[in-house]
Amino acid sequence: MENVSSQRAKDIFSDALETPFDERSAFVQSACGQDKDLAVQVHNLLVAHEEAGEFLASPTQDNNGAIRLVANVERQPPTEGPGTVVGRYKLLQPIGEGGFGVVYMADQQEPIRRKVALKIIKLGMDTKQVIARFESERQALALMDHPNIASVLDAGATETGRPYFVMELVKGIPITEYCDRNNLATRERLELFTHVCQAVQHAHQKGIIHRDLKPRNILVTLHDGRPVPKVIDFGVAKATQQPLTEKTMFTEFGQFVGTPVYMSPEQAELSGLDVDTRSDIYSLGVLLYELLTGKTPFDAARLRSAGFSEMQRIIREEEPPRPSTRIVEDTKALRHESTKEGDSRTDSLRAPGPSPLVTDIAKRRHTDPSTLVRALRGDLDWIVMRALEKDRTRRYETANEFAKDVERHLTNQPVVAGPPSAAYKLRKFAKRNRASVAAGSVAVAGILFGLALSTYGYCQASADRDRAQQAEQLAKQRECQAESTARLMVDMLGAVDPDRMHGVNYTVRQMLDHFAAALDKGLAKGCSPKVEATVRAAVGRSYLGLGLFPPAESQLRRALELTRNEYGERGVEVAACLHTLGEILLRKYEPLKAESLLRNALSIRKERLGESHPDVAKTLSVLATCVFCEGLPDDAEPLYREALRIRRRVPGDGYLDVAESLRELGDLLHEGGAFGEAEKLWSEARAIEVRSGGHDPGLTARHLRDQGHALKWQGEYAAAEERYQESLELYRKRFGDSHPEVAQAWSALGSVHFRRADFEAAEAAFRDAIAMRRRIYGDQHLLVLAEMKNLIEVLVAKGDKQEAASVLHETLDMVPSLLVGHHPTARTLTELLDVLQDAEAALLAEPLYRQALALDRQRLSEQHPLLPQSLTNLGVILERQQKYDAAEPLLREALHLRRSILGDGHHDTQVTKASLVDVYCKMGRHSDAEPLALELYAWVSGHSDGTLRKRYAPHAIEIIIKVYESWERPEKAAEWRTRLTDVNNGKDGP
Amino acid sequence: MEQEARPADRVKMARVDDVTRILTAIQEGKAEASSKLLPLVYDQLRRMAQQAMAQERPDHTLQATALVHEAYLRLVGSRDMEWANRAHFFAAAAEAMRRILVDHARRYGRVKRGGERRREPISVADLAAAEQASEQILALDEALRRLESEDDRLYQVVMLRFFAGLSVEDTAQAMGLSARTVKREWTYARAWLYRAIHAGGP
Repeated sequence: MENVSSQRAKDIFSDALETPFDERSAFVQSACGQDKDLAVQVHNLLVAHEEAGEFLASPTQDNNGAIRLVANVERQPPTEGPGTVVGRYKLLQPIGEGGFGVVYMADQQEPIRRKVALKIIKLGMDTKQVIARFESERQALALMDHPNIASVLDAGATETGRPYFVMELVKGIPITEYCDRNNLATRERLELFTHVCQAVQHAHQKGIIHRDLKPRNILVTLHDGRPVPKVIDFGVAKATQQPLTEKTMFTEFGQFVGTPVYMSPEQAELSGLDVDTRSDIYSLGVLLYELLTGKTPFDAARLRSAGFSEMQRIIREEEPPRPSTRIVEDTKALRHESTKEGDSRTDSLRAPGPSPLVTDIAKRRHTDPSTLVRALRGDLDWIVMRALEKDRTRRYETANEFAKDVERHLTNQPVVAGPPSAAYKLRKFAKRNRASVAAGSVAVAGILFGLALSTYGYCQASADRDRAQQAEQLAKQRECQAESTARLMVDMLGAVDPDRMHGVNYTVRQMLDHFAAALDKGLAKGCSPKVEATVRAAVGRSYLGLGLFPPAESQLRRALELTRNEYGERGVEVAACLHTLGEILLRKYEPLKAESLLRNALSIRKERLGESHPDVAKTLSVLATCVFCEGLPDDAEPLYREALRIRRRVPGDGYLDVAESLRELGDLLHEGGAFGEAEKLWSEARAIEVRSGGHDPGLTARHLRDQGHALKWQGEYAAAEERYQESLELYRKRFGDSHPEVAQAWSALGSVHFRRADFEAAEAAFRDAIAMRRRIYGDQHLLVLAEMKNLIEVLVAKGDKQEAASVLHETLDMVPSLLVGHHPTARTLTELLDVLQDAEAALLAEPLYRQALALDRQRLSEQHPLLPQSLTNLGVILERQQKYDAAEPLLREALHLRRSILGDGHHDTQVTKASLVDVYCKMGRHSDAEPLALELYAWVSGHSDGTLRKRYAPHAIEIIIKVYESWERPEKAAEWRTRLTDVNNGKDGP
Repeated sequence: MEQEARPADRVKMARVDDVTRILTAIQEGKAEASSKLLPLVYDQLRRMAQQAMAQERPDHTLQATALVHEAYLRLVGSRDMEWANRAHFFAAAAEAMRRILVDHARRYGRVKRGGERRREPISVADLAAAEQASEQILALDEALRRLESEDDRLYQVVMLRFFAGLSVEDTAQAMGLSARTVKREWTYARAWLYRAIHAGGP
């Protein structure tokens, strides 16, 4: 039963009632977006609303104010019964009853006198529509003339307004019952079944699809002592169910008309995919399964109790056991059962016999379980499973083909069905690996699954298209190509044996390399270029997922070339390649190159898919990050916002795509100093993530990192460190030890260690980050440079000048190639030179700092935290060149800004204070320096973080002493010197 | 439909003033007063319902509007009263009606199992209808319990509309909502309850 209180369900429900009836289904579908459960819920309620009639009708609106607890439908007792005349028919006795209504034997008076079956559909269906739909098919139905089909003669409405159907009277029993009652052997069952297939084939040729094939609709009668199956109810299902939309499906399900056991995946899907003859093939497959094993592929009781979406999932996704396996399983299960019950004769030599149930099933087929298993294994397994394929394109094309394969088996010819295809195995593999996703080996399985499915899906789609467009032979050839690709994938996937896996990424990488090499060598020649492009793009994406950029890039470049040739410059497929390639370049931190590709992708996607397509949002989002990385936050923001706006509509609020956009926008705002707003966005994102799979370690890691950032900005370093540490662990668990996200996490952790003055830990973290980034990006990379700079800063702070100099030397070798002159590079470089701490370097750096500051003033808002940073940097450089008069106003401005943006107690504010104290002393403005120096010490000694206190307290005291000494106030200096000794001796505190 | 109370009933009946006083007390924020209201209203309604049912077929259709409004007249009198006060009355009346119906349905179940002898039903069809009605009342009661715990507003709307028989407009006034909102909530609640009772499904 649904939750009551979803406001969203209420709103959609109410709005749906205000839309015209015909448009409701579509309205609900679009309003619910991807939320299928919600759609189901609303739909059920709409159906309930339609059916409710006068249920609970308000007493005040009702004549005499009577309470109606019962809906109209059930309040009215059936008025038709034996003796009633319905149209030209007089009802005799009822001969059957079901969820749909009642079947009577009836007397037809004219034009000829005969007995017929008259089926009265229960109220609650729109009689007019039912009859109209029947009328539309009446002509086709009249054309059906087959000994195994009971013809439908007439349809109409009773006086009470119920639709009825008149059919040839069949005095028979359901086919499964007939077979069991008469203990038909498997062979006889198969022969009977082929007649059913021929009947269905006949109907299909006349354009009639049954839609509701099940034993109850296939009755067996005896003609001259020979069993003759008759399929009844052709045209009825269509008239009473069509249009096959959610409404009718739910009505059916809600009322338990029939069971979903015989329903094909596409019928259960409700995707609006129209049902065709292949759905009947599926149902025939279920029937054959049941005739052979005595069971349906899915247990009816289980489906019924599963709940709607679970039922859909089972029918759509679960692979039923093959018929022979089913018998084996049942035998085992029941044996297990009997051992559990404590068979007292287990010590006797007699092996526990198969369960009575399975023996019964076998007995009804004139055989024993093990012989039955042998009979089913092979041909019959394959034939049944072919008919039960989830993908209808893989089923028998026609009922005739199905029957012929059964006949081939009966005459010992090789069957067409054959063992499961490579694609089938591939799909199975993907399924198996999905289970291991849950078990935890996320990286491997996730990548494999995506890769396998995209390839498989494409092969299928391409085979489909081709079949429609080209000659059959060519189609076969294409299919073979798809098959060969799929087979190769199976080979590749087969190589990944979890037991042989050493390192998670190692094996997957090897596997990808193996596959990429195979593509280059010859596999590609066997493929159409379209297939090759898709496969290469999938492989490239997998490389990207592993953080392996160079091979990712080369696969995507090749895929791009192929798609351009195949689809033209403006193809949607081209845009997809451009997008992924842009993403790779961005992750490689080449934002300028990435930007042009992404803009191109964006324009194609907007043109071909419309302005508000989810793919457009995806490209916008990556493009925004790209622009952001170029140091243009103001340009990035509207792009992020546009992506968010689209995603809030499609797929809609509450989806992970929206959470992603919220996080990205939050990052940007946070960086821009809008901390409060950023944290609001992050927490909205988190709420979404938790609701829809908060267990995803990647999302949680990201969330922890964002929290760490926020805490770091607030100066809560210990708490920030904790978050970073947790985030790092999660990332490592997920991605292994060489991945951009992991490097990023190390770097974040290092920065907070540094701020806590835990230099050893900081050094280790930065060294890890550097090593990892070098592996990922190569030596000549801005991100490596940034990390080196961090390391040097730590070394300097630690006092390890020699090591600092050596790392610096190494770094400077990288610099020229990175001097591309755009803003973030300038900043990094100047900060690097800053480390040199000598006048010469300062002179060198000054113009760069000035440029950076000018750019910041022009680009950043006044409340942007980077602005005082640039001011401080330039101030320090000037101070080092002894240009105190120039430095002082800059530092003062920086201090003012940092106080107002970050607060007086923020770490960075103290950095500026220290520099300003220096400058004031040099300028002889001691009375200005003194309060700042004391403030500095007060901040340090009052800090809650013990490590930081211990490291910085002596340093702060030394600054004070320096002030008094330069001021020539020795008594004050001496006083502080004593305190310094105390502090150094462990007597902490002011 | 007007019911004439027998003299004996009249004696036990709560006096008009009692209820009016209680309603005023509730309105003045005396929380303990509301616990006194329900028993009074329940007594009144049950008595009236019993009389009504004694004269009806077993698939009785209790005339909620008539009963509740008559109870109002008897307990509060025809004097004008603020809506806020009347709302308390109708909430209590709705609750009372619900209990009465459920009691009746339970008793019917006992009768069927032979626990109590009552007059024979008129026909098999009547018996079936009565049984169905009883089962549905109990099912409705159970569904309402869920509704109450999950969405109080929906629950209140159902209580006032169905058990107290208030019109959309009166319900809106009693709850301080717009008529449109009440209509939407009511339609939704009906569909939900219908499904909860009839589909029993997923």
